[in-house]
Amino acid sequence: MRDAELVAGILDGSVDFAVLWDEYWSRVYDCIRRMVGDAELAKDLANCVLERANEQLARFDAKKGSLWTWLHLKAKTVVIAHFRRHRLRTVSLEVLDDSREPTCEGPEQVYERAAVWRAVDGLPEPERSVLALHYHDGYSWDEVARLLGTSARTVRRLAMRGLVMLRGRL
Amino acid sequence: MADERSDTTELDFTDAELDMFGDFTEAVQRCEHPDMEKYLARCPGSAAKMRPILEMALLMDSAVTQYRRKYPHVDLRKLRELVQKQPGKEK
Repeated sequence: MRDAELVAGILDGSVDFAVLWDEYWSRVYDCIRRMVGDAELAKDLANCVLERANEQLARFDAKKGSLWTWLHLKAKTVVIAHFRRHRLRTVSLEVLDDSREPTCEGPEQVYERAAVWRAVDGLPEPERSVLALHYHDGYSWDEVARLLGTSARTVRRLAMRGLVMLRGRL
Repeated sequence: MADERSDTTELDFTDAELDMFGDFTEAVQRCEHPDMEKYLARCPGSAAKMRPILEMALLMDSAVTQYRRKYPHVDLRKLRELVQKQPGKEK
C-alpha cells in the first residue's frame, strides 16, 4: 500500500493504525537503537515516535516526502528531546561506569582519541561546520543548508571536499 | 593549510555527483544501509572519483555510531565544544 493511501485509509477509518505500526515499527526501532545504543530505551522511544505519528497523522503530506522520511524526522526529534531531558543524570552515570574500567577513559578522552574526529576539528571552515552539523548534530544536508543560509548543493559540495581533505589526513 | 585548500577547491563535482552523494549519505543517516555500488552506478564515469568519498562518508557515520553506542546520552556537539575549550586547544 502506498504511503498516501495508507495514511488516507487510517484517517478515514478504513485502515487500522496497526497496519502502519506493523510496517514501520521495526525500522523506527532499528534506527533509534543505532542512535541511542540501548535496546530497551530504543523500544520505548520507537513506541513514542509511532504514538506521536498516530496523533499527528493528518499533518503528513506525501508531496513533501515519504512516510519513512516523516517518521525518521519524528524519531530524531524524540531522541534529541530525550537526550535533553536526561543529559545530566545519564552522563554522570556513564562516567561512573567508565571509572570501573581499567583505563578510566571518559567520553572526552575517547573523543580525543578518535582520529577521525580530531581530523574533523582540524578542517578549515566552512567544511568543518558542514560535516559537524551533519555527522555530530544529525542534520540533513537540506537542514544544514538552511542553517548556514546557502543552497543544498553548495553544502553537499563542501561536505565532499571536507571528506576528501579528511581522507588525506587519516 | 593554504595548499590543501587550493587543492580541494580545484576539485569540483557535477550536479549528478552532488545528488548521488546527498542521496547516499542521507540514506545512511536514515539507517537504510544503502548499497554503495548501486549509487555509484548512477554516475558510472565518476565511480573512481566518488568511491573514496562515499567510503569516507561511511567511516564518518561509523565513527559517530560507535561513539553513540558507547556513550548514548552524551550530546556530541556540547562535548566537541568542551574538548575545544580545554587548555591548549583554543583555536
